[in-house]
Parts: sequence; structure tokens; C-alpha cells
Amino acid sequence: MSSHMREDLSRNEKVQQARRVLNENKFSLDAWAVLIQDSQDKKIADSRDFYEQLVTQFPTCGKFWKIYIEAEIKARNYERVEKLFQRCLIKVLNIDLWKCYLNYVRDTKGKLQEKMAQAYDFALEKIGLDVYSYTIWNDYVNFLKSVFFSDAAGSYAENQKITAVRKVYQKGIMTPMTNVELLWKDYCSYETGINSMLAKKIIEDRSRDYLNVKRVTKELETMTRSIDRNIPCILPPVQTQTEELKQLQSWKKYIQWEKLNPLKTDDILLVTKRCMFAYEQCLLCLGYHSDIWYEAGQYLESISRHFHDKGDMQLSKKFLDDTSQLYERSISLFMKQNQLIHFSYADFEESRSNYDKVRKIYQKLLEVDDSITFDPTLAYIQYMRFERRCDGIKSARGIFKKAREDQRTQHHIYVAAALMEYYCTKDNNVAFNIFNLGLKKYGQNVDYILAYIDYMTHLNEDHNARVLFERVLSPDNQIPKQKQADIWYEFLKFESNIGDLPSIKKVEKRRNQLYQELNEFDGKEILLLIDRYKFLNLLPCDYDELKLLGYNSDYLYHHHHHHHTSTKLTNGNSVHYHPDLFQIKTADYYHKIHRDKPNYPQPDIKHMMPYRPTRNVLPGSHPTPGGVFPLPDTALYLVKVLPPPRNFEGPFVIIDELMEKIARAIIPDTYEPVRVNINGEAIRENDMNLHTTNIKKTSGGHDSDEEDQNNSQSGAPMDIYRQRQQKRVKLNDQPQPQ
Amino acid sequence: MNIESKPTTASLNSLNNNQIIRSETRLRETTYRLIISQFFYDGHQQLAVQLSNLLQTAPPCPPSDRLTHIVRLGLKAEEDIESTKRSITTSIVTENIQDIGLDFDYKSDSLISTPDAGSYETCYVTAHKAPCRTAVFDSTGSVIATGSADASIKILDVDRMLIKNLDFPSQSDQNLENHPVIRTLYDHADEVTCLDFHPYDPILVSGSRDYTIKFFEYAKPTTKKSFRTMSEVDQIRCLSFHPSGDWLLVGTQNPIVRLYDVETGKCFVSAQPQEQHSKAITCLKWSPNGRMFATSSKDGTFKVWDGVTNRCVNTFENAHANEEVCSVLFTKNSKYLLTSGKDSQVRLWELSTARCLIHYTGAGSMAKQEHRATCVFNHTEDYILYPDEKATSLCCWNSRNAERQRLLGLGHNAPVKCIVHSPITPAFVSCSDDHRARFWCKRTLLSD
Repeated sequence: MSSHMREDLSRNEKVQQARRVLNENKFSLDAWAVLIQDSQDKKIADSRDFYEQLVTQFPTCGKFWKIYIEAEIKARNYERVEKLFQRCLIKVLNIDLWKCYLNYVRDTKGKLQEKMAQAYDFALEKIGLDVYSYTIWNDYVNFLKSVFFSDAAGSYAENQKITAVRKVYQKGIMTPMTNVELLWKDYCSYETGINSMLAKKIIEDRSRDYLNVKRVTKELETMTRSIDRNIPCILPPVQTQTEELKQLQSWKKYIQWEKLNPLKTDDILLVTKRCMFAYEQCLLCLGYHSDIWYEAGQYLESISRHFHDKGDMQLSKKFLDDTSQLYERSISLFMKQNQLIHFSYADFEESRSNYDKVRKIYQKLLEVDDSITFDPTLAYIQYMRFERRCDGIKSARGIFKKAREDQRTQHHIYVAAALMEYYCTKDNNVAFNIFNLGLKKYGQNVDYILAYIDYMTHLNEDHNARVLFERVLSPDNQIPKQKQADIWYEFLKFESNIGDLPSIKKVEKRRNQLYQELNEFDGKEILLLIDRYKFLNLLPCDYDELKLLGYNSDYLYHHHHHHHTSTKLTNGNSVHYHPDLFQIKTADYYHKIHRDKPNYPQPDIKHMMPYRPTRNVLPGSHPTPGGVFPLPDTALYLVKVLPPPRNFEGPFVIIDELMEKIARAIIPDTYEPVRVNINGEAIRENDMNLHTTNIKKTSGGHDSDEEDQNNSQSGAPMDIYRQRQQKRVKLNDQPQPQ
Repeated sequence: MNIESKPTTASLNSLNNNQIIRSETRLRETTYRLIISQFFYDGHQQLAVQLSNLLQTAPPCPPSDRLTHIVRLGLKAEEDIESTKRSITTSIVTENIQDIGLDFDYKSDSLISTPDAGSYETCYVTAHKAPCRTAVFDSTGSVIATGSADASIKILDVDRMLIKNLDFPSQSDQNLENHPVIRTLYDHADEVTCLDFHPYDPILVSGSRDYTIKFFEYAKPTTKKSFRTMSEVDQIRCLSFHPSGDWLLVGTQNPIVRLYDVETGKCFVSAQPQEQHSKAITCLKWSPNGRMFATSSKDGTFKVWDGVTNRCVNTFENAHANEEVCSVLFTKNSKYLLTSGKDSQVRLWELSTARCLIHYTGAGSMAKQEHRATCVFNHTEDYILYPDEKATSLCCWNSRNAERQRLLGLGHNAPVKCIVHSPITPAFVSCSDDHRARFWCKRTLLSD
């Protein structure tokens, strides 16, 4: 009893936790899963609200629709079931959902053959291209075979039945799908059952096409293998999860494959249908990816162009309408707030001269009332441009007026409007008026001021420009000192371009004063000087010098930082030119690499002992048994280049005698180099001289004399190789003097 | 008692060590007194008396309800902290919950959302020509390598195995493009005993009884042989990549733990010879934070080593009833260590206090275990999995309360010596002496 209670409680807790999670993140699939499980055990009346929530949140997820509908079927609420099917079937081309639908129709309306056949036809039309649609084809064939048996008495009815079955078969075996082989086999036996003579010919005719389909099926299976078609649409997280990224790639690969016309058919309509089917399937799972929507739209447009070129206006029109519908669907569902899709939709409609439609699109976008995340400025600008294009400057001004009245817009609309007046109507005064109007509102906005300055300096109105500079930089116009730097930079650039030297110096001095007040660049006025001489990306010092001056680090950081915040605040579109963008990018890149790989503590070999494991260890060769100290790198190299020990066959040194010799040896005071010639080669001698120390050389000379006399083995054990070489040299040498 | 201090606030740092210890012990004492008082208050007279006798509390504790109040306040505070934490990191909340892994410093009775091993199903079986000895997942959980006594290594693609398991029987089994075994590497001359994936690069390292360690670039379609070989002088038993991938720990038949610099191939050992094991090393693992590593040995001990200096920090003698210690495994937060032994027990050790926190018992009840076997966590560290040798079934415990879960028959015809669990998803691989490696996974609600 108690355990049951606990189970129950923990489950409630689970559900509650899931609800909490969903409040914060409505895309948490884990939480939805918990709730789905929970409501599946409840009565449908209690969980209907939840299911509605679920399908509203994930309107394209066939799986969730299916769960909802199955719950209703279980409760025998057939009216509701029908309504639900009406709501989802056409939109959600999910194979499982459609199978569920067909099962439902069969179970409830099995008697109404007409209805049933319609349902099957409908299903095959919509989802017959699916790779897993075999069961539908097969069921349909079986249904046709069984149904007509009962009342197919006459030969006419019999014939009709055969035609119907054959039609489905023939269509089915031309569709690449899993288990198409089984369908083929069935078809073959069916034809043979009717007329074995005729069947042979029919089958032969079709077998080539079938083999093609079979091949494509293999490819299709490979393509769709890694695709999970039951993933609900979730907003792509900021850091896109690898799983979703993988899915996206798989989908794109699959769509690309369909575009390449794998069936090698001449029927462009079929190719298009298959491609669009792939797109639709993909959009059911990845509805929040604007690129897919856009690509699908582009694809439809291109098909329309194709038919247009061929002169088939009807089809061309049809595909244009399809494109329009696709866009419409996207902006009414997942792309509600996506400006990119809205703009491309608007452009598409504009190209069809559907101006009223374009206006509706823009108005719809501007009506999005999510003031926190949505900034309509860009939408207004595009809208304004559109009006200018199709309706002239008057209407465009109307939009500008509307935009000004909209509280949400930012300063960009003024810049856009002013520049439009300047470039299109060539009217300086109107542009000036707009800029000045904006300055009243955005007098403290550095980005706006910079845009104004940019405009002014390009007009060659030096005097007005100076007035503007002084006006925005005057103490009356309160811009925070930190933000003034960019304006001063522009001022200096302006004076450097057109002013005389005294005015340049004056501006520079004032600028330096500002930096002093800000306590930046202490003692680094030279950095500010660089700004004066800089032109585009040409700098007065080379890169290394700049680095030395600290130009790259402090200055860059400051500017970078500023740049970053400014873009953030104004939603991108910063007109401010930045000379060191490239460096920033690389810096970001490095930063990223370092972030990707956390800094782990590394083993410190200073605390350890080098070790070389060996099998036969001499005792005492390493404190830790089972190994020896490895040789240092240089020694290791020497050991490697030395010939292996088995090559040494003597002479062997009698150590005692050698030691005795050395003890008795008299080291001469004078140095007499020994010249040795090996058949005219002096290399060996030189090598030896290089490698032996001075003392060794002298004693070596002595030694060699003795060696000659004794002809005995000598040399220090450590030097055994060199001794042998010497020996060989001597031996080679001896015949010459004799 | 627990004298290991965790200076959570900056102010604690300024206290000297003694003070910290004193305040810590005082805190514990207060806690015990509160517990006793609560028992008295709630009418558990006998228990309270017993406990106070045991702890020799002086002065005697009066009955009080204070503990309940404090707990209530504490729980609320904890929730607040967590909710603020959540609002800061706006990423998916459920993931954060799972990411904590096993940590007894936090709520230890939270609900487990992951499936226990009893609900896993075999998804794919691959067969070697001789007993399958080892397997490993890569860090993303998308590739598996299995090693066998037939000296071969197979690389398996997890996605393809999952696809294979779908209900749609496809006729394209012969189609190499779909085949889950993406590579078979024959380069060793003897049994492949251990494998590890490089944490970042597509490199597989393998150790074998043929005294060599080999590196494979398994991502290249043409790879058949290793691109690099390091020779050892003994049979390799275990190896582990440093989390940065720059260092490789190698354990051999010889009791000396070797640390290899992957780039130069140079070998290093601890500067203190007496710290080494006395018998062959059975398993070694770097901690996920790279600060330390752990080794287990046939000599019945396991050791924890400092990752920077390569010095032994602690030796746990007689860790498994004087039997061999077979495997070691760190939790994701590197705070705890999971060991298995030939006594068929699995133990969880808290490293900060150097004590055994939990025994997981019940495996090996049919007969004494003869072979070594590894124990693993599932991907969220909610469960511990350990193969029972005689029953060839899988024992599964709740890692927090050691509650035994349903047994899972592994379907192998011979002992299972190695299992590895995916780091990301509910899936594991069991390697058995019947030559087979089975891939098991839990079908999730959303993808079945």
C-alpha cells in the first residue's frame, strides 16, 4: 500500500516538475514526454486541454496528433476524431498518422466501400511517395481484391476490378519504397493468376522500370536511414545541438538527392512532386529552420520558371501559387517573427506584381507584438524601399512617417529615409531636414551621429560638417565621455583628409585630452598618433612595431569591446568602419579554440622519473624494477647510428695490459699531427681529429706507434669502436710505407 | 569524522586549518544533537536514547522540532539558489539536472528520469572469431570499438546499429554502406586487451598481449593498420587517455604504472618506487578533470594518484575482501570512485574522505566469480551496472541507495567480462567469451 502511494506521489511530482520546466522552456521534450505519458493514463475529457496545448505547440508533429487522436478513438468520440483528422491530415504528411487514419476509416466505415476507396486514393495521392508507404499500397490492393469479390458477378464488373487492382499495382511498383519487392512479387503472381500468357509480356515490359525503382529504393533507404521523422519542431537552441545538426544535414542530403532525379525520369512533375514531398517532410520536423523554407520556395520558383520557359503558362502559374502558399504557411506558423522569410516572400510577391499582397505581408510583420525580441526597424526600412520601388517616393515617405510614430523603431529609419531622399530624389535639403529631425531624437546616439557625419563628410560640406562635429561634441550635448572616442576618431580623420595642419593638430590635442580624462593610454599618445596617419588598412608602422607599441592589445581590446556592444545594441548593421576587423576575427577564433578544449592540469614530468621498460634488467639500473633509465636523446641517437654489437668481431682489448701501457706512457710535450691517408681519402682522419680531444690526439699518436710495434689490441673499453676504426686505418695504411 | 574541509566561502580561507576543522566538527556535533532532539520530539524515544548513548552527547539533548524547521528553510533556500541558477543559464533545464551526475552533496533523493538497465533491449550483435574482451565508446557516444582475443578490433557506428533495429526489415543487409561495422582492424598479433578513444581527435588506441600499443586513425576509410606503434615489454592490460589526449596511462602485467607522453612516446614513472603496486595492474582511469588517476591491481588494492606529479596519494588496501580489484571508474565530477572486485561486490568510494560510501551487493550469489568483470555507471550515473558471471545476467543498482533493480538477462552463452555504457544515451555494450558483443539500448518514448 505504502509503496503504491509513494509511486503515485513521485509520479505527481514528476508531472509537476515537468509543468514547471515547460513554463520556462516550452520546447523541453522530456517534460512533454512526461506529461504525455501522464495524460495517456487519464480520461480523454481530463486530458483534452493538454492535448490541444500539445498540438498547438507542435502543429506539425504527426506523432503527437496521433497520440491525441488515438486517445479520442479509444473513447469512441468519433465526431471529434473526424474533426481532428480534418485539422491535421492535409498539413501533416506523416506516414504513421495517415496509417492511423486509414485504420480508423476501415474500422468505422469498412462497410462503405466507396468511402474506403476514396480514403485510400486520397492517402496514396498525399503520402504514397513515402518510403514506408508499402503497407498502404498493400492494404489498398487487398481491399480492392476483397471488396469487389462479393458483388462482382458479371464479367464487366470482374474486368473493372482487375483494372482497378492493376492500376494500383502498377503505380505502386513504380514508387521507390521499402518492400517494393514484395509488391512486385504480388503483382507478378496476380497477373499470372489472371492470364499467364499475357502476364509474361506485361511483367517483362515493366521489369526494367521495376529494377530501376528497386535501385532507387536502395538509395532512398540509405538517404532516409539516419532521418528521424518523428522529431517535433523545436526552436533551434543557441548552441545548436549536434543531434539536430546531424538531422539537418541528413535532410539536406536527402533533398539534394531527390533534386538530382534519381529515378532518371523525364516527368518533371514527378521529380518536383518527390522533391516537394521531401521538403514537406523535412519542414514537419525542422519548421524553425528558415533556410529550408527559403530553399523550398526557391525550388518551386525555379520549377515555375522552367515551365514558363517551356511556354506552359498554366503550370507556371500553378507553381507560383504553390510558392506563395508555401510562404504563407511559413509565416503563419513557425516563421511568424522571421524577417528574412517575410522579406523574401514580399520580394517574391513583388516580382509577381502582387503589390497589395506585399503590403499585407509587411503589415503583418509589423503587427508582431512581441516588443521584447522584435525590432521592426529593418522591416520598416524594407517596406519603405518597396513602396519607393513600386509606388514612388510619396508612399515611401508615408511609411517613414508611420515608422517615426512607432515607438519601437530605432534611429536607423532616419538614416535610411535621409539617404533615400538624397540618392533618389537628389534633394539635399530634405535629407538634411530628416537628419536634423533625427538628431533631435537621437542626439546622444553615437551610431546615429556617426552615420550623419559619414553622410556629411561625403557631401563635401566642410563647414557644415565642422559645425556638426562641434555641435555633437559640445558640452551641451551630453554624450558619455567613453562613447565620444569614436566621434573624435572620425573628426580627426575628417580633418586629416581635408583640414590644414593646425586644425588637425588642434583636433588631435582635444582628442588626446579626452583620453587623458578617461585615463586611458597613459603615456601611449603614440597610439593616438597612429590613428592620424592611418589610411584604410595602411598603417605607419609595420605589424611587429605595432605589437611592440601595444597597439594590438590594449587599443584593440578597447575598440573591439566597444564595437561589440554597439553592434549588440543596434541589432547589427553598424556602418562604423573598423580597420582591424580581421585581427579581431582571428582573436575570436583563438579564443574559441581555447574555450572548446578546457585547460586540464597536465602531468609535470619534472616530478617523475624517466623510464624505459625492459625485460632483462640489470639490478640497480633503475630504482623501479622492470626498467632502466633511458639514454638522453643525443646518446640515443648515437646508439642508433652505431652498428649492432654482433658486427664486432674483435679485436678485443686486454684491459690489464692496456692500463699498464697507459700508466707507463710518456706524454710528449710537442704536438705532431699524424697524417693518415687511406688510398687518397683523408676523410676518416679528419673525422677522427674532430672527435678526439687534444690530449687524446697526442696520446693517440703515441698509442698508434705502440700499436704498430706490438700489433696488439689496445684502447679504452669505451672507445672500442673508434679504436677499431683506427686499427683498420692503420692496417690499410701499413702497406703504403712498406 | 569528516575532517576534510571544503572552504566554500572566501572567509573560510582566511581561517587557519585548525579552526576549520574545529568548526566543522562542531557543526557535525550540532547536527547530531539536532537529530537526537528531533527523535525525542517525534516520539522515537528508544532510538534517540540509543543514539545519544552512542555519541555520548553532553549535555543531554532536549526534545525539539528545530531540525524540521531548519530543513524546511534549507530546502527552500536550495530551491531558490537552483532557480536563480536556472534563470542565469537559460539552456535546457532538464539537461542541467542530469549533468550533475552522482553527487551526495546535493539532493540525493531526486527523481530518476532515466531508465534502469532492465528495460534495455538488444539492438545489435556482432561476433568476433574468439572471445570478445573489451569495448569502448567514444566521447560523443556515436562510435564503439570492440577488441577480441582473435587480435581484431571492430569499429561500430551507433546510429547504424539503431537504424538496423528499426521495425522495417530492409533487404540491404549486404549493402556495405549500411553496415554497422564500419572498420575491422587487424594489426595486433595477439589478443586485444584494452581500447580507448582520444577525447578530441578521431584516434583509437589499443593495447594487446603482443606487447604493443597501437594508434589507429579509424575515421579514414582506408585504415587497416595502425599509423603508430609503441612497444612495451609486457602484455598490455589497460590504458587510459588523459582528458586532454596528450598523455596515455598504460598498465601491464608488470606492476609499474607507466605514463606515456603521446607526442614524444617517452615513458615516465612515479619518483617513489615503493608507491607502486605489487602485482599486475587490472585497470586504470584518468579522472574526468585530469587532476588524478586511479589504478587497481591483482594485489587487492587500488590506488589514487596525483595527476600532475604522478605520485600515489592514497592506497586502499584490502578493498575487496582481499580479492583482486578488477575495475575502477570515476564519477563525472571526479569526486567518487566506483570499484568492482572478484568478491562480486561493487563499492563506491568518496575520495575526499577516503572511505567506502556504499556497497552494492547481491551479485555473484549463485557461485563465486572466477573472471574479472567491470562495473559501470549509466550515462546519468543514476544506476550502476555489473554483470553476474554465473547467471550471465546484468545486475543493476540505484547508485544512490543501492536498491537492486530488475535483473537483465544478457543472453550470452559465456561469462561477460566487460561492459561499457554510452556517455550520452541509454545504451551499453556487453562483451562476452562467447565471441559476441551485444549492443543494448533503451528505446525512448519519442523515437519508437
